[in-house]
Amino acid sequence: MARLERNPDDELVIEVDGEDVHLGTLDAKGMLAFASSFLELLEAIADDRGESIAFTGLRAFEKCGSLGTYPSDAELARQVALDAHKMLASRERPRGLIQKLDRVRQARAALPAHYRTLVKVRGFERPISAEPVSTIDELPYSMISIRAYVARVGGSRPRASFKSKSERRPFSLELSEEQAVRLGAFLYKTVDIDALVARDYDGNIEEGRLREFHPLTDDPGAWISWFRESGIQSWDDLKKDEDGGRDDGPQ
Amino acid sequence: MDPSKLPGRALIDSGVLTRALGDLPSDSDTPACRDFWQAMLAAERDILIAAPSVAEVIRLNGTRSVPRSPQIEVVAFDQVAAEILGRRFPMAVLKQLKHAGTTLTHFKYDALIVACAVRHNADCIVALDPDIFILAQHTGLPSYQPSHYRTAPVPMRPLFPSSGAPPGSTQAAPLVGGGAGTASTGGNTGGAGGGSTGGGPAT
Repeated sequence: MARLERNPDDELVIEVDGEDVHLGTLDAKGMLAFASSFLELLEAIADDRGESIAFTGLRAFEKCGSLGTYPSDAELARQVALDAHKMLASRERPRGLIQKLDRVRQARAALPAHYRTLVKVRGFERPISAEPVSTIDELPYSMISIRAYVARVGGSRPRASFKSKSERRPFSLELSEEQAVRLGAFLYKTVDIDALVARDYDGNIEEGRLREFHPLTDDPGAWISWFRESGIQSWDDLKKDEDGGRDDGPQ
Repeated sequence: MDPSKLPGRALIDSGVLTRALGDLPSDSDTPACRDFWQAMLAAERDILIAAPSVAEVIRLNGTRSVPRSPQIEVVAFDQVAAEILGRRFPMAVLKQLKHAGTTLTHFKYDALIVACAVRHNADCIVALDPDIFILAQHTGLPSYQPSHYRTAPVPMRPLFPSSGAPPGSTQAAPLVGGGAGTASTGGNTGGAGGGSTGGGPAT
């Protein structure tokens, strides 16, 4: 039987950490119930986004006690794992996901008190909490303006997924329903986007909100007419350093 | 132009941009700049223009919106680019790389443009300005003159014919010849600020 070739980075790992926690001492029933409820939550979140995800393969390995499985879409798994972390850490009770969230919380609470639980995938790593926490680490946000391919638009809480040559990984952004309707017309097309984003430790966009997008409407020939109208007439114009040329300022 | 040699995603510096769009029609570098621009579009490759270059070009009348065209992408100097700039080009590095033929202000401006290229994953920078070659080489990003992509070989000419290597750098050798970081054809014999019209920020 042929072995599946899989990228180890794409494995989703549910890890239990704590003093004297390893495979030999792991609460097997509790761990399996917790992992199962968490994977069901991820599937439900993906479904809520209008996408689907499945998990196949299972391995248990020592790193305290860890269970690994492969998602059908590792990038989507990273995104829904982030959503799960935020939902579990907050007091928000999103419609359609309340039962799944409660199941995870119950399964997590049933684990021994000294266990710490984490989810890891593609460099993403977050704790899985049983109770809402008072604060979630604030991520620094910054504006980006990049060209991006619209890979997906939809979900009950609207989101759009993008791929950009300026970014190493695909990413998704929240947007308004009105923006989703407009952006939907550009599905599978490339647009320029302005967005407020937060990045993970590896510099990949972790979350964000679309501010505006701009269709690509001009022919490349438009640049020549734009330059005739707007551009400098000659570098000699700048040479005198009277128009903010580069040689202004301190040496 | 040899389509097989063209980069998939190249950031062009201001001097290449303005020549490609019609400036300096009689300049010896202009035909190569125009040919490169047209060849990139014909081959459906990405041309990146750093936002600081757009600011530099809009000197006559900046009221008209910059075109948004497939294949031609104005890339922003954003937080990621700022971090690249700060980490790769701290002041000590800029002062070390800077040579007598340029000003630190000019050099810092060029570093903004190189940071944009790195941030937006350009395969290379296509430029005429020797400073861009020095800075790009420091980041490991290949940089070429437009003439590099011409099918026929072009004669080599030293980048700094009068003074040799720019002070504080060891890049003199790779900056001549036909490969990465080259200044392989005419027009850049005037040191920093190069361009065959001499003087000014002809990058």
